[in-house]
Amino acid sequence: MAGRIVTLLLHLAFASWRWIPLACLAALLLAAAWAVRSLEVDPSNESLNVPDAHRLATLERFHALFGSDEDLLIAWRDTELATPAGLSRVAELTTELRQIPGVTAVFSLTNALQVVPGETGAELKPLVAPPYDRPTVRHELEVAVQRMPEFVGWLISPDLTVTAVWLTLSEESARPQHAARTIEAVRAAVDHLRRHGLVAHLTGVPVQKYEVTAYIQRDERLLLPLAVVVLGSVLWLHFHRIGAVILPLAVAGMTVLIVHAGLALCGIRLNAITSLLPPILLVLALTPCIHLLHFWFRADAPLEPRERTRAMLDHLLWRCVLCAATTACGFAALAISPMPAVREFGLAAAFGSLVGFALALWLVPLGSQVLFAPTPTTMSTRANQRNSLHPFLHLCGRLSIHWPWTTLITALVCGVALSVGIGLLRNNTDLVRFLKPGAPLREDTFWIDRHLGGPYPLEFLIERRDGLRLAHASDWQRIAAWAQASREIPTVGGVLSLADLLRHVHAAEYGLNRATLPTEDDVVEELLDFLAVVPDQPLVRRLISPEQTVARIQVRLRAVGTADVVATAERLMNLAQLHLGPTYEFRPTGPLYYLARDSNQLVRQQLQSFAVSFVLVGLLMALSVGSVRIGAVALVPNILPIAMTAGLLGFLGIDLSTGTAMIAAAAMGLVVDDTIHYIGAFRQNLRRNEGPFEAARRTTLETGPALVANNLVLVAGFWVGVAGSFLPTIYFSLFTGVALILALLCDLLVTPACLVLLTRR
Amino acid sequence: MKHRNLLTAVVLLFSLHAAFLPPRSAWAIREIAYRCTVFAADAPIGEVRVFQRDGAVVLQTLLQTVLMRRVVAEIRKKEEANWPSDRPGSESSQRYVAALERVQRVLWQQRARSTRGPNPPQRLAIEFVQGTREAWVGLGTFELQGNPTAFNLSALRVLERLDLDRRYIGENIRLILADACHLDQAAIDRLLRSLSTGQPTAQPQPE
Repeated sequence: MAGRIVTLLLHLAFASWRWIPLACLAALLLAAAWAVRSLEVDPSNESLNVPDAHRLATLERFHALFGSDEDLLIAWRDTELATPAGLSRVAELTTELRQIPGVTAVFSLTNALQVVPGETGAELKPLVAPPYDRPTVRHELEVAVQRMPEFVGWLISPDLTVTAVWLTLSEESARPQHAARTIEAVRAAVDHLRRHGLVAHLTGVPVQKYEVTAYIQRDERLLLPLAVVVLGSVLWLHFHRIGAVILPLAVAGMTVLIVHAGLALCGIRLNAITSLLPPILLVLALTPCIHLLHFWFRADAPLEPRERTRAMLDHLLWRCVLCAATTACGFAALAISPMPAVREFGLAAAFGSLVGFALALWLVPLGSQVLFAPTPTTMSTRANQRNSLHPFLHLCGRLSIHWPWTTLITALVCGVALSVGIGLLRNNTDLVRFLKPGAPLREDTFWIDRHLGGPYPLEFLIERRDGLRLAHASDWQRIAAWAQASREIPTVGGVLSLADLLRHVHAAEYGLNRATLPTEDDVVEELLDFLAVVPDQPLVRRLISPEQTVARIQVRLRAVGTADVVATAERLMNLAQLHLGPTYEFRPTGPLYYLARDSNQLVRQQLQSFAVSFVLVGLLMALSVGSVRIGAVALVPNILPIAMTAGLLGFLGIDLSTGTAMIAAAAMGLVVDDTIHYIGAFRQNLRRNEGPFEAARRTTLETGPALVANNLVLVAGFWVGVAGSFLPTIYFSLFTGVALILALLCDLLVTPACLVLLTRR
Repeated sequence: MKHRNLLTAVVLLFSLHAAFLPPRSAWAIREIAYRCTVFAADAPIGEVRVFQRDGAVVLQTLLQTVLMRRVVAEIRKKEEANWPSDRPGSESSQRYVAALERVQRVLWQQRARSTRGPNPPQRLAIEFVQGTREAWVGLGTFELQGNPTAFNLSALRVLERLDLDRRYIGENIRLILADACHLDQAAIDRLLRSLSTGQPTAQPQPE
């Protein structure tokens, strides 16, 4: 089988008709380029949502009952807020924001209503009625805020100097493709405050999604070309041949093109996950190219091109096949994910690794014999490189061969010590903290959190299981008790529910001194009847469904990450069980909750996929070497660097996020290649009856340079990501590089030590 | 003979039908001389209509709202303003308001409770009737047919009837027309005169 493939590849490289398949490839690439033109970007990232019938039903119900749940929050400090000028500014901005297409509701100090006792019962009147040019306006505001303390933290700070405006976007305008326009229009309106020397701060889940997507896209535009430049530079530094730069990069470029054409033909749109494919495919396709080129420049290879190519393929074909298969298996393991975007990413990367491997095997021999006719010069270059790495490789060889147990135990002790940090890892995607300090969204969100408390709205739906109206006094007593208990949670900044409004209506309707909830069902009915027909409905409609069967409760969370969001949601659910009991159905919902849940789920799935890929890779290696023991041993130098990197993340207090969770999968797919090449070369040397010690020494000295070169190129490529503007990208790039360096050390120290220990008997 | 029997049977059937029909009910109105919509906080909550029935002038107010307690409180407020204790007729006013509040409480207790969706509105009918010999106020509830905002009465159930001072009734009819329908005194005079003479009159225009 291998002989036939080698013959085919030799024909493809040397036969007179070799230009025909090359022309076909050119045609294929043209067709791929044409197909890629139709590749669409899905800015809404809908494929990141796990298809979940229950969730969809809850969302649809929420939207049907309460409309959009996409809120933006604007806040600013104005020392003249409680003056005619300050209130006029709020009113002007409120009017201006309301006119922006896609804004369905605006809540501010100047359109908020308070409940007051009237001649015939409760009445609603503006918190501060216009015009504001009267001397008593500050006193009126103070009295109103005292009467309705729920507004503190929601619309105004306790010292009356910071105010907030809440905007609700329509579902359509909150979609990422339209959100940019809406958010920019909001920013333009808010900028008018600058005329008065005021600085407004804007946050909200739609802004987070918009900004984060923009950062990712900006990073892609910057980092991919930068990665190409850096990879090219490192390739040139290593091979000193411009052809040796162009050839691997061309193979990588073709791989990227073909995979993206495949995505377009399958009707798959690029999303936040699949947009990571180009850099991944770039490094996947480069790896076999580097190994093949490295052999081509070997001093001891035959000088005749055909024989050199045959020797190269004999030497590397099986290892490259195994590398491609293990990488493809690793990525294909992502297909178990229920998240469409992750499945698409896994399958596309698996396909890409096979395409890159096939193209490398075909084009590197073909290109090498054209670009680098073997001459004594190439041999001298190789000899020089060997000299520069020789002391290091010699040291590795000595350590692993002469003191295998010491080397292995030292590595294991280091691995275990660092792995302790894994226990400190937390699954936490905090989109705002992922931005670099100084990023406007980060600063704005924290500013609002500090001055108002709780910029993130977490939504809950409460309804009776019997489907009846929430018209019993006990319904609202229980909801109020739950809300009161919820306010004690440190991550909760405030809770807003209809119970608060009912309390005030009750007091105003019956002339009570204190705002308390009614204890009689008839009174509750009466108050609900009042709320059903009051002229200004936006706030009421925000808090209870038109049929009065479902209540919406908005819990404002402090600026926390997904770990805390989900933990708080769970705690609130537990409190709901305690205070509401089984009579009620209590469901968390809203964009923040789903974002948090999806992020955490994505991280968990990536780790599960890594576990599956780890097992698959182990099995494949065991099968390939025909030995379970060697297959198992081969996993040790691969699991150690990943465990050490994960532990390092834990010790450094870096959370597991969608970015950092990918380090394991990406590193595993790459580091296993080094082990395969090392074991393949070791077994080849062993077959020459060199004995385990000599085989290990020779393998380290012969294969070591290729491994070092390959890892250097990959590390340089990954570390380009450190220039990114988004911390997950930076962490992913930095720590994948760290994992690759650790893996290289393991492959040069632990792998030979294990092999020597296994085979010396 | 055969035809005579058939005729007898038909006559008998008609007689039986007439015998079992409810007596001519208070809501059987031939012609409404004037009507206007009643608003509360800019929302229509009812209708005031004036017509003649059995020779008496009737001012009928049909109210439908979930906030009936507030509407009744509003009526009390107006009655107290219009009929201070030193004014003749104040006793009738007090009796009227007390009865109104009783009926409102009865209607509240008897109201239909919705299990899903807001409660349906309560319906209160108030009739000020000024005949040649008697004057009274009827309080009750009503049913509508068709579009609920068109106030096509299909049934009216009187829960309480108060015989009150004629002058109070007459004056209150005028006050209600002026307050609810925004008619000036001249228009009210013309409207009531046309009713008492039985002559049709042009629809009075609000002020």
